[in-house]
Amino acid sequence: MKNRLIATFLLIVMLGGTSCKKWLDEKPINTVTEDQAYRTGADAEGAVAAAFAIFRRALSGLTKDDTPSTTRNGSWGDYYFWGDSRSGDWITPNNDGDWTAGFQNHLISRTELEPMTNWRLFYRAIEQANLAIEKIPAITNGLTDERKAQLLADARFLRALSHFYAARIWGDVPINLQARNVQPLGRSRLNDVLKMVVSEVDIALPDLPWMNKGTRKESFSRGTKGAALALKAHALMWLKDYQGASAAIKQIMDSNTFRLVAANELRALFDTGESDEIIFEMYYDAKKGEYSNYYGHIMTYYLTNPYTDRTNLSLAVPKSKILEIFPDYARDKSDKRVPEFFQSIDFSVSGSELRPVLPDPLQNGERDIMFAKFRKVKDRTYNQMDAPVPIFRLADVLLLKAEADARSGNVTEALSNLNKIRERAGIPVFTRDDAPVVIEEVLAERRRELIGEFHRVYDLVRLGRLHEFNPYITAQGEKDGAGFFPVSDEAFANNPNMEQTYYWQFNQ
Amino acid sequence: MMKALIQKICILFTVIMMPVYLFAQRVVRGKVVDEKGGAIIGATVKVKGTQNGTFTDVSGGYSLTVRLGDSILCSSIGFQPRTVVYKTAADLMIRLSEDTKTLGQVLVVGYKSQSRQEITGSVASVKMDKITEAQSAESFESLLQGRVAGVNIQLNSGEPGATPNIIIRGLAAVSRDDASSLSEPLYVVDGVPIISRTSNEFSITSTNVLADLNPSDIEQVVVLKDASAAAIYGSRAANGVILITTKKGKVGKPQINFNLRTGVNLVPQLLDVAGGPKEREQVARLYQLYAPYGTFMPAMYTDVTNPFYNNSSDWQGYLYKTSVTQDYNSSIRGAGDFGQYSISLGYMDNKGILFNTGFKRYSSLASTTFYALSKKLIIDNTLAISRTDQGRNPDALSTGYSSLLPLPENPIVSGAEVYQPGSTSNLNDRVRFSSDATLNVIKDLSYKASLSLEYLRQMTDSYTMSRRTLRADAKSGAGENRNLLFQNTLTYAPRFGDHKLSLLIGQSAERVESKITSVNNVTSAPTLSQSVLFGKGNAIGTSNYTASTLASFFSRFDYSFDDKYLLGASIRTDGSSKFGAANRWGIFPSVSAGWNLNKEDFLKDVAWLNNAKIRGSYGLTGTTWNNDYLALGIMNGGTLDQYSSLLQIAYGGISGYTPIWYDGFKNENLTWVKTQMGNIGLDLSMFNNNVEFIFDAYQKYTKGLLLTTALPTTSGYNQVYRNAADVLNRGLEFTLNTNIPISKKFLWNTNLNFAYNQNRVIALPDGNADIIKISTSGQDFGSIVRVGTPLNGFLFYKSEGIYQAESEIPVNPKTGAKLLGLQGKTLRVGDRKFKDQNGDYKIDVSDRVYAGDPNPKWTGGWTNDFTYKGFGLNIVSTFVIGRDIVNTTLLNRLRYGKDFAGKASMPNFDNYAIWEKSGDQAKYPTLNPWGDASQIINLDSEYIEDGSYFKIKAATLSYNFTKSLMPKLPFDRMRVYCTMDNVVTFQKYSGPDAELVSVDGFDLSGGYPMRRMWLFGVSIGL
Repeated sequence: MKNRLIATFLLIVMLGGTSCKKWLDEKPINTVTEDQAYRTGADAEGAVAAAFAIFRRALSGLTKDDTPSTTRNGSWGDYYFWGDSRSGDWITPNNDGDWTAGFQNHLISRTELEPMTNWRLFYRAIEQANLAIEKIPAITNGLTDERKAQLLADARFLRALSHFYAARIWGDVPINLQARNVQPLGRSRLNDVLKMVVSEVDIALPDLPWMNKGTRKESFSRGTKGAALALKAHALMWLKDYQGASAAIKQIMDSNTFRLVAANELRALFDTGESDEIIFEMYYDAKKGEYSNYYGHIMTYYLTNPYTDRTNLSLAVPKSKILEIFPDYARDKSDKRVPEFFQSIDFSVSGSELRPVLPDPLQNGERDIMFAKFRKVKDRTYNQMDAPVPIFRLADVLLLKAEADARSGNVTEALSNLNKIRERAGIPVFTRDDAPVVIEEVLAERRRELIGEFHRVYDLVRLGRLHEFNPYITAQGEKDGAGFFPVSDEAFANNPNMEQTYYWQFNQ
Repeated sequence: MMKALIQKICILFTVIMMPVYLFAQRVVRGKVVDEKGGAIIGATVKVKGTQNGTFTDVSGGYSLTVRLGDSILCSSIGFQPRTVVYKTAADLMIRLSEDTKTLGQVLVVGYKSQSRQEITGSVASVKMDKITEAQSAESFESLLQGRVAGVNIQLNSGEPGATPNIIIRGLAAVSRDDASSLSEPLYVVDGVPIISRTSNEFSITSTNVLADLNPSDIEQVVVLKDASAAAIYGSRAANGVILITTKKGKVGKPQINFNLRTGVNLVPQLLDVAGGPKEREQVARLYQLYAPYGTFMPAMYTDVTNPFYNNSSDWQGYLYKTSVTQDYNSSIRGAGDFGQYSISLGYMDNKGILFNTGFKRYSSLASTTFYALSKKLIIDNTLAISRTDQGRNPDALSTGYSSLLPLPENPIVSGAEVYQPGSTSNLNDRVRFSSDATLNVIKDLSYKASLSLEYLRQMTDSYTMSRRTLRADAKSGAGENRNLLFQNTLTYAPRFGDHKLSLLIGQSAERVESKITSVNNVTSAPTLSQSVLFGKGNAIGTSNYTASTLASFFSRFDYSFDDKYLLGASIRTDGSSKFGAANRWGIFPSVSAGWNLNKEDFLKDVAWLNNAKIRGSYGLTGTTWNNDYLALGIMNGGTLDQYSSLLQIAYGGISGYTPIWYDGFKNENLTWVKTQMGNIGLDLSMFNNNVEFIFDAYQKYTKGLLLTTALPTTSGYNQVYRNAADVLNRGLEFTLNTNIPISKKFLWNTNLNFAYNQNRVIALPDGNADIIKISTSGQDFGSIVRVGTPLNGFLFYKSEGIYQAESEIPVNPKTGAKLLGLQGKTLRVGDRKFKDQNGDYKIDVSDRVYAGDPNPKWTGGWTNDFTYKGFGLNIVSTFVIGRDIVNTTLLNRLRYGKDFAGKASMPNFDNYAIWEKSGDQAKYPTLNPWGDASQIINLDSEYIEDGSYFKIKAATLSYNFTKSLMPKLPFDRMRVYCTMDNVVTFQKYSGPDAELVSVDGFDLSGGYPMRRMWLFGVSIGL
């Protein structure tokens, strides 16, 4: 009897012991933990997609949701402020103080510009890619080896791209290729970052497809061979490896995956992103819920009524500047890009109605021409701005190749690509064959073709020529780093290895 | 399964116990009773000088082999031992008198009971019966105030149903924000840890969760203060354990009790307000003195025809009213051979003194015990059901409006947004059920299994309506908390001659689960509906769920030799689901020893010394944190970004998990907050046990408090939690109890206790970097956590008076520039003179100094009981000495912006020394609302005041009718009483009440004042 009792006790204790482990394995029921988040192919797909989503947020800009050290409510479409606003081509017709400060390279003192100096979101995208690269190899459930390799290459591409994009903005930036890396990383030299980008692209390239599944937009909003090669070419241009850049772009051209669309197809390119010319763009689609309302998309500031409910312009290229940039249009209105990129709105009509668009794109006065490269349906609410944010497109890399070829002495090849762009625009072919002039013309053509597409400032900074176009930046200032954005205060917290860009140590 | 087991065990015991009965054949039978004649169960009866002894049964009876002339020694816990010489049969009826001295008491300690004399840890107990009989409170914590040395209880709001702060042996909690981080004790009711607080994230009502426990149902509260006592509760015991024992039936006839009382709540001293003409005059004066050219007063101050001009609304008088508290309790209790029963009902309705506020409680507690198998099997069932209902105002209602604004009922403001009508209801429903079975397996060995279930539902519904647009803002939410506990203990307590042994081993498994759902909307059209009707947009509500489990094994060992040398040790190991698999188990050991000096030969002859004990203990206890999944690395499946639309949820239609960047990543290094505590103590009992002195000295070293540390931006994460902060508390505790019979009829009892605590931060993350606290709204409110100083000190600018002359403003001899004020503003005469600590001729952040410590140094209480015949006078007082607090309320009322006129009520300037012109002996600088830099700033050391106070908390006058006094009394007992609650406060503080401040030491601006209550009641025992 007693033995049975003792046996019962022992049994209870044993049962207790074995069930103990399970008892303590308490997992949340309405969310997942890190251990549960990387188990299936779908998880892997999601992890990499999320890295792209964070990168899109990073381009759009940081808000106080992302860090309490900033006070900005919503992002502004910061890709514009990094890539275009300081080019000297822009004005703010409603005299916005923050934007004026931005044009004038006063980037530190304005609290509303401060979030633009913070690279936190780029490193979030990098960390998300790091985690994906660390975790995906172990996933087998619902993931073929081929797709796994592709996803890893995709994450690697995005990680390299994030580093590259940040490097163009801040110059020297920290390199973080390891998940959960909480070490206080110092800034790596710009060239080292770019070399890392090139070598990472080379690792990713073999596993990337030329095209992803789905429509052109779906395909080219994720990593492809084309996107990786374009990234590599851009990085090599910064490294002054012009032959390498030219070779990378030649691979893109030889693949026959992309074509220069006709001028009348530009609307699809800029408004919907469904275009054969796109190499890499940020995915937006209102139908899938991926759009911006008021904040987060630069269209908010480019457009007014009839596209949004703004009654006056916030950002514009002054009429005289348009005529200066597009001399062919000034001469005979031949450049087809001007009516595609600019519109004049009939501001005499009340703001409570849809205002008509005037037939002559430059009909309005000096400060009243709307930059209308990206458009949406005419609607006097802000909702659903979903024009894609282009990163690389064929015209961009063709002109890049033209520059690279001209710099490495292959002027004929340079002219051929330059003239492809000019022909599409309906302006006369360029025939001068002395390299410096060709290089200069290629740069001018890039300015025309890519205006408002977040390239101009990077081109000028890469060449050390921002001071020639922006009167607020001196040659010495640019040598000291004025072309790059300052590093935010937050990056110095808990990081003794962080250093401010030389110029910004002395300028506010 | 259980039934079958019990049956088998029954048979087993019948078999085992048979010989005992057979052996005791030639016996005498007797009975042990208490003073009232009730049976005493389980009393030890033995023949002096032999091993021959027994225990009394359920009817108090015993049988013993005894010869004529033998001395029979009879003792029972809670009674004074007695020796009788057996001469006649009448001598076998042994009457024991109750031992009222603390040292004789038996106390419920962790998982078992121990007599005072055997306890080696620091354990304090409070008998609640007398206290609750004559005082009415929403929760028992406030009644404990000032009763136990080292237990600092502060009522920081007078709002009915508010949660008092309890800190045992010093604050040991750190945070970076203004969330008052408290080191909360563990609450255990009848052996079951209960839900005592809900974490902020899952708390939906503002009511004190413990207020649903009717104080009148509590028999005794035991506070386990040191590690040796508390370590058996392991990972939750670091800040002390409060054990609550509810009342049970006693042997004898059924005890039926009624306690009916009604209180009148009086409005205390409120803020001083300049009314009507005085306010106009003050506003006019400020305009006259400081207004820039071309700035004019609003019409309501200048135009006699303006309907507001002649108003003098007494907003405080309008919103604060005398109110009534009703508190009715009844109970029936009894015990006998079958077991015991206890059923009680309570109803309390405490109307607040502030408009629309109040607290109601409906409570019932039923507890039954059944004996089976001749008391070999004891089954307890407890069911507690309660509801609390706390009414509140919508946030928009304020007592601080300008006196020129007409009161809401005035027709000239109908439809104006003077204040928003509305209300908030907070309902807490709690059901607690626990069932346990104790089996006395063999002599000295018993096994207990218990299962308990607790369910707490919190519901809040609030609405406010705009008087102008008639649109309503409605919120509704429900929170559910569930606690499941299963525990098994085995106790073996044999006695071998002088060696007394007690061994306990046990196991418990616990699961706590919380869920919250909350919705809200603002209607887009005028409505009378008070419920949520789903407005437009995405942000209509939130929901969340969390759960944690705990598995524990524990053991306690106590040994005493000759009741002289005591040794104790305990160990507990807790496994918690909150930790990563690698770091799941924590071990919490403790050791203790005691020496009852008075039993030694050298003290045997000291007649006046009844008891003397030296105690010492050392042990390790722990605490965890609220976020159940923190260590596991919760992932984010996509949240709505309110600014950039849906940009982060999906990309190309594919969504994925990302880390929660604010919480860091999976963090298996996170572990228990470990507290090492050492304690030495001395218990003395003298002069016939009439004077009792208890002393304790302790050191509590809390290691690895959870704090976020910021991560470099390059990691992608904002911060990660680490066990990063260490806090040390050291202190002394003194308790003096006296029981002085001045004459036979006049008795005087006092309890004086006081405790000294020294608080110091030992380590902080990021290389011991100072933590300047930032409120959730992003404001630096002047609280700092700095290594080497007490927690939450004030980091303020040091005030040195006021600049009386231009020449007093320092000039930098190098540059010739004058000292720059805060925010780089030019200083003028009449401005606050802050000390330029670093001598850079610029007042800025670096000039702030550690200017005060909000942690009380001395806390304590003094209770006096006078009894004369049937009369009783009881006075309870509490005190705090050595604490700095900030008069935030005054500061906020003296700070004016340029559109100050008509914004809020003003204090009467005549009562404050405010600077107006050179030579004014002023404490407060110029109030210039148009001044460059606001000179009335939050971080001005001038507003730090001495927060010491001595408060007579309650005074009760009662008369006790008993049968012996009035033979014709239709009841057994009747007591009528009158209690005044919150009698008087002596303080240096210039604000209304030095107790009504936050843990951080800030006077809660717009706080709820503490009412003064007259309570009249009658307590009847049938």
